Amino acid sequence: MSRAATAAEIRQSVASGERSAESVARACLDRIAAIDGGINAFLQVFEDRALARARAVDARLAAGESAEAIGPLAGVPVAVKDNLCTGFGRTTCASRMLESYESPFSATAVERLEAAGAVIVGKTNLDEFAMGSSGEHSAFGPTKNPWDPSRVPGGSSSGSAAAVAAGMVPVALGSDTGGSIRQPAALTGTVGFKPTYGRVSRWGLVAFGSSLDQIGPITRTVEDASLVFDTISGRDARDATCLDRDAASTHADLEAPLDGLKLAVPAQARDESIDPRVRLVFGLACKMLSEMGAELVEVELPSPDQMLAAYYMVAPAEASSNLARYDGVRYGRRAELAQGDDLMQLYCRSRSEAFGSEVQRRIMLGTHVLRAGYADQYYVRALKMRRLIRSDYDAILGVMGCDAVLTPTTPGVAFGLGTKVGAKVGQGPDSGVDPMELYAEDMLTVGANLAGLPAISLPAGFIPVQGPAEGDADGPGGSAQLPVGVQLTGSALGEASLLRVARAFEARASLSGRVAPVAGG
Amino acid sequence: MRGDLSAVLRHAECLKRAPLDGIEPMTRPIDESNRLGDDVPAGTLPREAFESMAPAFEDGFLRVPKVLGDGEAGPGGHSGGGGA
Repeated sequence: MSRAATAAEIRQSVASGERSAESVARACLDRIAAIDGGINAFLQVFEDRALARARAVDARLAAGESAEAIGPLAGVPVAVKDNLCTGFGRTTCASRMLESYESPFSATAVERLEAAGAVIVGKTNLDEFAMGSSGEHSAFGPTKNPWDPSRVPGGSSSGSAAAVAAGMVPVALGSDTGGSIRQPAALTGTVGFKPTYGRVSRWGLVAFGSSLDQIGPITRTVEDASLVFDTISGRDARDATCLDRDAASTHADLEAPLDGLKLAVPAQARDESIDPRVRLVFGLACKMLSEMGAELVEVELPSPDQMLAAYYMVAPAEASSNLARYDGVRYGRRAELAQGDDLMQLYCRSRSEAFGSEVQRRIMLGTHVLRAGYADQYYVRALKMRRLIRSDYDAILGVMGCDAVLTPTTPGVAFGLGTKVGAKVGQGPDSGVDPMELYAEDMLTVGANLAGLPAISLPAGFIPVQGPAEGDADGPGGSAQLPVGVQLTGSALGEASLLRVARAFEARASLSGRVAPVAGG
Repeated sequence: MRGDLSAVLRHAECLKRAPLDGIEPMTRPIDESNRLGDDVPAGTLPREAFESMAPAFEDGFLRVPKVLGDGEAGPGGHSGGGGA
């Protein structure tokens, strides 16, 4: 099983002079050029800019500046999900609506990465406006899973997860509204970390669900997740919902010993709707943690159905409001109008032409559940369920004294391209497919977003499968190893403790850091 | 699409069975949201930034089709003050 250098290793080798930042960036760019044609993880690659930024790091080191002064990510190549604004290149959200949009500024998280010496190599594919759980709802084509290109990588941070899993970059930023960092991390064998709501500034993140969205890293190790989180976290006056806290410092204590570890296992973790292979891997993970001395406690949380129902009322409601700004007037795509067309036709045609089917579905759903006469029945009820969910997590992580809630990250392994969205994705809103089938992918991840808690997905096992994914007769066939992830959800602002538990699990499981064997690489 | 939406709304019916009486709706996950900043002037983007990203911009205004009925602004009508 091949490995590639982690961010921490790259930083060390650049700091010691063993490698130049330019050679590291060059290697990443070469790998992207060699293999991304078959993966479609990147929407843009900034070759010239990345090499120039890397050379600038080398020049500072050559001038006698210390790596510490340059920053904790000196010379580390990073990819950024294309719903994070960058003051260079385009910010498309994988949507025809923003196909040509160039942001006049960079997101706070992007600014902080660059200030820490990171080298942004490109922007990654996603489900349009971060709405999706498969990576197939991109206007620029689906991303494929590096472990088996006939399967999805998960979503919505599909490109970020695939780029890290395939060894194109050691680190990528994603965003997580209902599992969009953790679910693709689980399906690609990477580490995906969603911090506490408000711990990382959302300034410059294109809004989807403003009370749910959070930026976080996808990496191949917990240590790298910790390094990136420490770098991008902390107060930001430009985001009124960003917590008034210093940047985190989780990295220093990552290896501190764990005493008296107590983990909660909700009944939903063993729900019969979960793939038996995933339940098997989860059971082995529980056994391993017990052998490590952890006490596992059975607990109750609201059912996955109730969590999903609450999420798929709240998130579309917020999305319908946030996406109202795309009207064809101030920025973004404007439809061609005929003589005599009025402003309403401009709005309707611009939005109908430029938004994909999933985005349209969520806008209409959100608009409906907010309508007078329906809001109490749907939206308000979902908000009450949200408080119940948070109260239950607080009871488990507070009163009961559990360190984290342990579940599988996803109910299944990576599924075949086209098998859950039908063949009509991108062919208009009347797809005739049951959206709940794909939404169920999020059943184990939405709870952390509704409650605003930090959560991390870690590789817990690999399942051998034969042949192409079901429903994809044109798949490559042969055998593949498909990753399975487990998820740890911690208490609000408990990232340091959560990452320590994750690091201990990772050290024992010895599964992190693997790179998918991609053709052409 | 109508069928898709109905499927999601049908699923949401499960919330009716939850014990939600007397529970306060939770609109945001933390109580510290909407912290106020200092009341001091801050910089903003230059007008050129808005102009360059607008689909149609003319004489300091965003250009839109007619807003009112026939005989009003016509296809070259203005939406109001420049900037966005």
